[in-house]
Amino acid sequence: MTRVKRLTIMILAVAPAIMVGCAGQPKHVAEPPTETEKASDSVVVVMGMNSEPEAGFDPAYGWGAGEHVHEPLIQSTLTATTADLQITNDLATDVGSSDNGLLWTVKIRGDVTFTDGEPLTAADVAFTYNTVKNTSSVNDFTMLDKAVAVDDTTVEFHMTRPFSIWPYTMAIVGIVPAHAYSPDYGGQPVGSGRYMLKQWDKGQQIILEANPDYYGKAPQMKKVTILFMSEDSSFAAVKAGEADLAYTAASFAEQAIKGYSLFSAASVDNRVLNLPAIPFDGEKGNDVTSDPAFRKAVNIGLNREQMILAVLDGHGTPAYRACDRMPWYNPNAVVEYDQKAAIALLEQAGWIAGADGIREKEGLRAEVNILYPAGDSVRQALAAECCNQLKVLGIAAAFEGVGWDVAYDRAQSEIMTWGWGAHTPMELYNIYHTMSDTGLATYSPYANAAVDRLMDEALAADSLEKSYALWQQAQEGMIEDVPWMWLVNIDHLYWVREGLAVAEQKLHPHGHGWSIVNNVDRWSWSA
Amino acid sequence: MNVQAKEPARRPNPPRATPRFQINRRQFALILFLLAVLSLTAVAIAGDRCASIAMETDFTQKNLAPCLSHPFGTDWMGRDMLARTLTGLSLSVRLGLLTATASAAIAALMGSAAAMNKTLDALFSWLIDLVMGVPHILLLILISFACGRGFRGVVIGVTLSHWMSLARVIRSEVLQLKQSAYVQIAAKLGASHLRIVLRHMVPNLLPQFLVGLVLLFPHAILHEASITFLGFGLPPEQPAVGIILSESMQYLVMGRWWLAVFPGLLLVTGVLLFGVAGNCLRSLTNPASANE
Amino acid sequence: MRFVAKTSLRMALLLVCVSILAFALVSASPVDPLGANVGQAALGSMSVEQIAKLETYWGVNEPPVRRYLAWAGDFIRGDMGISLLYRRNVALVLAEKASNSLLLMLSAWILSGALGFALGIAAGMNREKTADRLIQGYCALIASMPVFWLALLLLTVFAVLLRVLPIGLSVPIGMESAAVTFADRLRHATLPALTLSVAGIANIALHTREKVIDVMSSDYVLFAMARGEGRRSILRLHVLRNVLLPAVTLQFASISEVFGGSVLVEQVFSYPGLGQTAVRAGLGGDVPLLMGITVVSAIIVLLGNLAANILYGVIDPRMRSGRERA
Repeated sequence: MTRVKRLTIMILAVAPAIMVGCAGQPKHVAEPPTETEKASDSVVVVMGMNSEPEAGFDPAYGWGAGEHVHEPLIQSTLTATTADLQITNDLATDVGSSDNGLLWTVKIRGDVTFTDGEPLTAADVAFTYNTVKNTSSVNDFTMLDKAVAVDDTTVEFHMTRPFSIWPYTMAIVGIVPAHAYSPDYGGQPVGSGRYMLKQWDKGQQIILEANPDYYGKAPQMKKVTILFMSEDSSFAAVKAGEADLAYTAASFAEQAIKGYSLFSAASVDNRVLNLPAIPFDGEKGNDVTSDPAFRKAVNIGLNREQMILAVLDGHGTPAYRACDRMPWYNPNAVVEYDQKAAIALLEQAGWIAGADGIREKEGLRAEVNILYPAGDSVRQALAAECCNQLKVLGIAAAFEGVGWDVAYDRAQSEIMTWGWGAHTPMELYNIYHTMSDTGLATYSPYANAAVDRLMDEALAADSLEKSYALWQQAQEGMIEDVPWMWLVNIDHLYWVREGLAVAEQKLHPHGHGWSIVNNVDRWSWSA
Repeated sequence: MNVQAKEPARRPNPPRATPRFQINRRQFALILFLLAVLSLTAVAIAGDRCASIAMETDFTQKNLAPCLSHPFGTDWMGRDMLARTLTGLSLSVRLGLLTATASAAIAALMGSAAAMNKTLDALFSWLIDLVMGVPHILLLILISFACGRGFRGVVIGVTLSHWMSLARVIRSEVLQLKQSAYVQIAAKLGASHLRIVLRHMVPNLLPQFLVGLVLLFPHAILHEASITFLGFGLPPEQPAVGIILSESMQYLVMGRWWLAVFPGLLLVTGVLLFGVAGNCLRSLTNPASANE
Repeated sequence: MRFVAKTSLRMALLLVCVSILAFALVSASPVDPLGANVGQAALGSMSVEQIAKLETYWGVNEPPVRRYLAWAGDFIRGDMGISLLYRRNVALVLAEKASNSLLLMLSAWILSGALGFALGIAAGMNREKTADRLIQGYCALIASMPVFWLALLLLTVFAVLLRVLPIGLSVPIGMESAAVTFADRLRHATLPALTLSVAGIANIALHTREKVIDVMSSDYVLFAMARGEGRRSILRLHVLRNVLLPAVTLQFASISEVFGGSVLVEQVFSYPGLGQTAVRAGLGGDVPLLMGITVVSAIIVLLGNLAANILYGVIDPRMRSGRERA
């Protein structure tokens, strides 16, 4: 063999070994590895892959807010929501608004320090709110003009318009330190909350440690490990006994796993069908669903209990509004399933069954398309089950998966399966209120001036209680018009290791992530 | 008395020199080819017939193991897996036909154009290097993304990424033909370009082209299944094989292995049948290759 | 040397064209990154100004040519941009994911090359005998299987039924990264690497077999056999040397296949590597990340081809004068 050949072959043989050796080095700075013993004050929780805050623990980039609202454990908030979604104070000692609703004055406690030793003052609060107003990628702060720190313990919020439910927004904004905030804050957060970030392995896990200087009750769980996995990996982790609490879906729930039990958290994570309420004008609207009798008929003609049994294996509750069981909910929205009454309504309105069983009114066939987002299996199943149930009523329905790029446009003229559920009444406003430029609601064409007016008044109300009453009044119009047909609230399911006492959960919002650990500091192990 | 040569002793009923029905290799290839084509057509038709059953959901029947009424079991929405798989396979076969034909047409055009013209040839080799510089699946993802990720994206993506090797083959064939004696003689004798192409080139190209076309099918089908599996193709309620297999991934952990194994086996069988058909076609049209 | 320079120039030009092609495809997409990434309930609670701000972030309204020039300018200076999904430097994201994939792809590449070569030779030398038929049948079967189905099968057998190997991911569940050993990484990479190798063997084996048959039917081998050379010596002296060149070319050409296979395999095993990132970037409309991955993989593939061309000259002295292949 020539020298060149021998050399080349030697290099080729050695290079892979070198590369493989390099690839095997652990990527992290070597911290002394802590043993994963089963301590009585540590817990391992598994969440979905989407729960990992890609942009870090920065309130401006979705930590605590956005698609899935939860308490930002690393930071403190001014207010907090209670188990029944009322407002209570956290950092704030006093919250008041001016008569015209354009000025909110909040007094905060003076004994709070960040984990780096610096005291938390009103200047930090003002800094936080002014920052999130400018940079927030997931929250709407257009109602805030500016936040001003009057002195060390008083903050003034100057609003651009009256916003009576401002405390609900304050409940999800974590306060960041002005002296330690930079674009890299997300990876090295400093806060005053119950926990500190100990370690973050991107794509794999987060380790939180209790904050020893916390101003409130000391956390009972000193170490919380959060793992991010897909549904089947989560299931595998539970079967291997590696997790203490792991999220799961209804399809896995029928399995029996030794040493674990199924924990079900009620939620307001709802699924709903929008029914376009205007006739088709070329762009928006739907001739079949624009008939108010049609909408009312299908609302009482759908068997929600059967849907829950079939699709969710019983792990759910019927939904009649976006905000079931929350303080601003109007319980008159509940309807009884009555197939006969539904058919009677349809026939009275002129929808007569033809030879093939499908109804027709003045030549228009009762044919609808139910869309669902292509990646979502629960919505797909709900759409399929709705189609089956509508067929019984004499309505021809087919279900179709669409990507989000076309979904919003197509939903203007077709039925689509949505998911909502937030801890603020603002969601009702966003769904039902008309936009000023089109005169119709945003996601599905609908307009009711009385509903609009009442919701505007609710926002301008001068107390939370008064605003709750106004929100409820506004819902009377929705009950009559049924522009959105709410289907189910999906229970959030978890496998829990025996012996772990999970503290009482407030109603989970949309999304199956961090809300389970809202009160992880109150969890405990029994023996 | 006649002195006759004594005939050598013969066994009473000697076996025939050749058995009554002997199939030579060529006939065997032909029969195999016809069988493969027949099976694939049967699948395509059966799948089409099952289409409506494949879409029917019935949540009371969900997650059943294989049994008499549901030989492949049912899926998580209660749809019969056999009907769904057959429909999906039929869809794949038809999609494969469409994309492979389109791809082959592109290959024929590009290949011949490259052979005819020097600048086109340079452009051609540049284009091939360009397209092959990006890994195949990544190219498919990009094209499908550019077309909005639906059915159209899959068809265009698979069509535009398979023409290269066949085009190369056609190019070298046409180049060779251009130099061959009879073509040059025909040109000297005054035959028009068109006549040369039609009478001399096409009949010689056709066998290679057809074989290449049929051998494109398996690739087209596999890539279509792959890209659908990743989530770039049809919406999930459609019974495409890639979707069936990606849905089955969830249930493997729970032990429902039949949701992945049976549909996959049917797909592999389909692809194998296409491969068999292609190889038979090749040995039929190019007898020399039968002895490779 | 001139040959290397010329090829490198051609490669650079090709890279530029690849990046333009990729960018054109990515910008032509009607996919709305907001809808794909922001989440329906969050989007539903945003004001119009908020949405406008997000659209600027995701680059929805800028003209494509300007965006490409900006991206290209940055890229040449080494800045691959910020990934919109991960909100970190694309280079960092790629480095992280690539180091995961490296173990996988390298081992699969080497294994499939070595095994494919061995099987191909075994098949070619024993033409028409049982070994050949078996190997041919196996290769035909593997070539007809989608890679991801093979992965699903192996997952079912080894991880679910037999439980000897982990179900997925690249590190054991819940272990702190400092505690992860190389053995753990190896365990988690075993099934994906195995799948990728098995899938790659078929192609290489079949091609090698054809080349071996070509060599065995040649005149000089006939002469060698007539001289009385034993099979083993024919193999060593004639077959190996003549098959090595095409085998090397094939091996380097299969880099592209390995990458493609890894995209599918990583999806099945939830292995956080380059392939899975490519899929996420594609589904989510993350333009900088998608461009970064495309260009990096194109570089790897083209480098592979360059290496093959250089090795040509090393292995076959006839090639050293710089003559290009016909």
